[in-house]
Amino acid sequence: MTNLIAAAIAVGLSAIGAAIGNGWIVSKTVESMARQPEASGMLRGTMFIGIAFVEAIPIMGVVIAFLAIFL
Amino acid sequence: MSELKNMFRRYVFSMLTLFAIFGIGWWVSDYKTIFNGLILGSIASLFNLWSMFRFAKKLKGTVETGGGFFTSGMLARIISVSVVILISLLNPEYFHLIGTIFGLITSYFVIMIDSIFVLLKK
Repeated sequence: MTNLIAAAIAVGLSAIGAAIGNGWIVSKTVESMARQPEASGMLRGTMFIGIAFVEAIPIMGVVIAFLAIFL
Repeated sequence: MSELKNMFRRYVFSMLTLFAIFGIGWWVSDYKTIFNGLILGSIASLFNLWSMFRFAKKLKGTVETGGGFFTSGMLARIISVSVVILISLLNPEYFHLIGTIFGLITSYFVIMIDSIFVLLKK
């Protein structure tokens, strides 16, 4: 039972953190793109890298959750 | 070509190079399960990268034209990782777990190394 709780905490908290982070990144990018449409190419590139690194956390959370359940 | 597309092309090229290296490793060495895991994880990693690229590409059109869009996004990425980890956990005789985890983070290594190269070029 405790391993299931550990798995839920690992996935849930990491997903909440990533969701908040992704929301911030995308909202700021859209805001900047609306303000400076000519810089949208560069902004999207930067956003892409930001999202990629933010999403590494829930992915590792999922891995840890499965390890907690199965091992 | 837009900067984003250019970046994605570079990442995919690096990932394919890594696939080739893993393939050679699988062929040459005796550590078949580790390389199986690395290849399996890298496939999911490449899918995640493509999914993120699709999202960033769709965002431009939405900002220009207004309205909204729907992507399966983070859910699809988490499901792909879950499937890969489950495959690896349920078939330890074919896939090495640590190899699979390292395969999953391949795209992040690629992005980091590419960013360093871009910074050094500037």
